Amino acid sequence: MPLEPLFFKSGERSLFGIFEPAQRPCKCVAVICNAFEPEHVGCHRALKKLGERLTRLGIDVFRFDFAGMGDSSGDFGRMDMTQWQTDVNAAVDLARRRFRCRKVVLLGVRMGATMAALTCASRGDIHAAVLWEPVLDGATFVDDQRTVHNTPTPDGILLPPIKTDTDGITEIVGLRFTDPLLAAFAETSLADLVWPPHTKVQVVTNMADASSPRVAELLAAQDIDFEHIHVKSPLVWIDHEQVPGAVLQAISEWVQKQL
Amino acid sequence: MNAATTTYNEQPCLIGPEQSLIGVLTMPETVNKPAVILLNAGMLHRVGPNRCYVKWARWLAELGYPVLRFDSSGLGDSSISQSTADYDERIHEETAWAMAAVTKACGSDRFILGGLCLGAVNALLAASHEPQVCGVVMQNPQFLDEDELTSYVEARNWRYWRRVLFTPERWKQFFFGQADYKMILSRLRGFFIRKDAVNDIADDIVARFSVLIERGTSILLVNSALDVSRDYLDVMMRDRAAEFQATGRMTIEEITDCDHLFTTSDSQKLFLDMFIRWSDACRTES
Repeated sequence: MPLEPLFFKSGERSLFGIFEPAQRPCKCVAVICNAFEPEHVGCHRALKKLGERLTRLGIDVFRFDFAGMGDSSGDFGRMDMTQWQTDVNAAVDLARRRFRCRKVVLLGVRMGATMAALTCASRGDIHAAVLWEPVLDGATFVDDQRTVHNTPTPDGILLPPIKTDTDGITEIVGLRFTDPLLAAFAETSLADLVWPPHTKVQVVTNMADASSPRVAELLAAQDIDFEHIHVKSPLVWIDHEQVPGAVLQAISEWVQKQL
Repeated sequence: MNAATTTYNEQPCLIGPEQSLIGVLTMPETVNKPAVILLNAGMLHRVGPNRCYVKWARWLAELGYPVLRFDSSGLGDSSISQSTADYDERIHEETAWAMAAVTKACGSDRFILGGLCLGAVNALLAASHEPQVCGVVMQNPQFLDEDELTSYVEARNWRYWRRVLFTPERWKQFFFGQADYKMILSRLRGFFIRKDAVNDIADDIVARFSVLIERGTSILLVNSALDVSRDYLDVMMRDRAAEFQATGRMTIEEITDCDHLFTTSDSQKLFLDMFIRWSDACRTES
């Protein structure tokens, strides 16, 4: 089936998304939230492959870019968490209308998973969610980017030191953080998240020493239908040339079982 | 750029006879410059590394350039090609489809092809077949992934050896199993490759530059000072860079403190300034 790229509204912003109709009669729609910049570009290929697997299983897919990221409108530094949560809601509502599906599975990777989790908790109509290497909190995400910024490339090249300019902008790996945006990241956390009891959830982790296993522990302590799977696999948000087949298989098999 | 002040609009674009390639066209309010087409940077999709293609497209559209960012077959959101054509032909064919899509959307019939890394090389390949191309912009060109060539050039990247050999952390990684041994081996192997082995590829590149220059097409080559693409260029030009620049059709620029992927916003803006200066100079001349 041909892909259907489009721009759609999320509040004042125009977001880019792609519909991928299922290859056989549809059971539900999967809405895929990509990672935040600068990890977004590395995850694109793996999420496209994930979408292809899901459409083969009879699941409609809608992938979209958050405001200020990818093909969507706006600059990253001018966004806030409210906008990004509005984006997930707008994508879910649009996908449900387009495919006339009641059942929605929400998938996200890294900060995309964090935003997907927050959205699941705030609305009661998500059937299942897949959180792939979720980031426990926004402060961890910013710290991760600082680490990337301060690590030499394989060629031994280092970016200029991180500093805050006279306009109060702190640039980290090309992302221009304002003070309010840094504060918004600092306030964003899954630590106190109460998961809706009827929404099934799978957490997929690749890094044993990251914050994602902590998210899995927090969810495991709640009385919900929950699976945690750890897969040692290339980290696509860092190494975009790899396709993590084992991760994609684990996710698509779990999603199929939930229908 | 604020949504309230933008003077462009963006639309998704399905390209090719089977609409199998996907792109985004950024349209200015008034088209008064040649259309720009950006080709994939390596395997990355049309937004480019650090979203730089998106930013460049929007900034250029504010100045009157329509800009198409699209995914070649098998990259980004585009389907894998069923074509049996060789690489060069396929890149040319798909770029010609992209040009046709832009002409249909906004009437532009003059084009600037551009790209980063492999996208730069693909821009050169496609431009050499297309007389409608009035400009080629090549950022950090890294040529086709020929093992011999890559090993040859990277082995002779002295800045790399200097950075690595004098960094204690690198030695620690080497001795504790954390180094990229495959890459190190490939670079060492390059010392045993003779220059003759890479001259065929270089001759082809030089021939393409010559075609463009004779045709009156302007070329902007931008290298990051820290990047290995400078070394690629030295090999590829076969000592003819000065001759090409003397024609007035080739401009070579360098950006200091800039990595291969134009990560910092300063380097992205510096590139844009170079592009605008070069493009204005080309238009004045023509």
